[in-house]
Amino acid sequence: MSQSIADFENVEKSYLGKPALGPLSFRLSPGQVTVFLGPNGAGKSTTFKILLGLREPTKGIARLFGHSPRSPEARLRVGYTSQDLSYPAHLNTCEVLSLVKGHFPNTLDLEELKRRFKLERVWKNKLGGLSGGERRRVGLACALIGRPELLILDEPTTGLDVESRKQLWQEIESFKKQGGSVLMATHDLHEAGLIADRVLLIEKGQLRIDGTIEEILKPIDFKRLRYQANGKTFEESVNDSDAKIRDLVNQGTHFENLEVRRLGLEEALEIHSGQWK
Amino acid sequence: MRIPIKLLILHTYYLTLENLRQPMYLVSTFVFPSLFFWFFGIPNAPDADGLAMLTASFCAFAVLSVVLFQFGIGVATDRETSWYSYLRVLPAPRGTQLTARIFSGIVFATLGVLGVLATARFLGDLDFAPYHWGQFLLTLALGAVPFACLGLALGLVVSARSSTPFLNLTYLPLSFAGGLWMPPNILPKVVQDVSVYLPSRHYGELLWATLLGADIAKRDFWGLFAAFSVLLLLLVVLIRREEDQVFR
Repeated sequence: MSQSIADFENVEKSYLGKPALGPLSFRLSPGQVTVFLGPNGAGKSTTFKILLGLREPTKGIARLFGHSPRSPEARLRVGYTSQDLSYPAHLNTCEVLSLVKGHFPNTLDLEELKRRFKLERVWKNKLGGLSGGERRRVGLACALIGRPELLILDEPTTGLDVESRKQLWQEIESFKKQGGSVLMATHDLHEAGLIADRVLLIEKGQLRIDGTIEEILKPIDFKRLRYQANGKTFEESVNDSDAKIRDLVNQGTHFENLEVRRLGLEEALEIHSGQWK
Repeated sequence: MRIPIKLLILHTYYLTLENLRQPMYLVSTFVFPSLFFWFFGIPNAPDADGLAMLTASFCAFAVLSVVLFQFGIGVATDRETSWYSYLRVLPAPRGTQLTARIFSGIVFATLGVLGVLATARFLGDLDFAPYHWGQFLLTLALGAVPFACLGLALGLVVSARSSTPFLNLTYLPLSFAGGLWMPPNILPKVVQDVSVYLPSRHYGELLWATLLGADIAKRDFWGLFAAFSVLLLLLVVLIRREEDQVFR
């Protein structure tokens, strides 16, 4: 079994006795981009907070690199950006990055980060006046500055323009190529389909789906069939579209405007989670 | 867990820088104590000893401003920002940020006290020689600890938005009724009656006594110590509550 970088063993979290998460179990292997999907309030941020040591599990065990998530040993190996990271309004970009940099023994060069994240224009600007995209770029630079082994990104592309999203995806790809692991939450299935090696779908605090993109798509291998017959429009998901069309022909059904397409990740996830009949 | 000195310096430096860039903060912690002393303290000093005592009072006023405002508003604001959570994810022992806030407070308190002392020297012509400044400064620092606990405790209770008015409502009556703006014997009778029970009055009495080299009254020592014990206990309870609610 490969070394695990993060372990959740039957983790449960309740707030004031009300269950919010779990029981939830999963392991993260090195070198993978794992994407957490799920609606708002599903438990993604709570999972991340437990993994980062910002919350304690009510039950179960969470480990990061084999340590408690609150231990400095674990935190030295993690970079993080939250979905709504605010910065000290009276410090500038360079100062905030210097403050974060001071916590790690082996760091990236500030000048390199400035160029890489296109922060030249805001380098000496106070962070209170940055745009949403600039703040996200600073957040990612903060996450990477300590040369982490695991990046935890909570909805990092929310509110970003297309160009900034592409840059972030490239950063994730490049980080992965250098051996890094990524755990990321997103609502964007297109994004998940592009970058994820593994998808965890969480709903109402429970893990519904855990697999690679191929694993999720393959067993379904469904196609979406749409055609018109007898003045009505029919739409259905079928495993074998050729067989379905043969059946229609053999039954003597007169159909027209036939459309066949492969299911996307979103539809596959809906089928897996039983939302799509 | 021990906080590495390097991290403590780093956090203290950036907290201090943040505060230095806020003009209103500088005015309230550095300018106001000296200005009020110049306007209201120096003209009302009856003699040299009276001026020395008022200098001590306004030094205390400057220190209280820092420990109540910087700690109270700072902690209340920290609690509502995701930056505070982010700092907790960094590999630094718990308490680093809070300890740095205390150290940064010491920097500003020192500035405030130096401002009052300079005003006393250059605008009030105070002769420092007859007084016991060493034991005065020690008492000034140690006596501020209960108020630091109060500032931190209030910061853990109030919201960022309400922290400024709330702390003003604490700071101004404590200073005024404690006799830090004017000698307690010229306070209104009803205020004098309350004054003797206030920690700020005990603080003032201790400062005046040490500065003049007089014996300190046990009542003031134990009064301030009792305030410290109660406020420290309150602070510990509130920190635990904060940890339970926010980080557990």
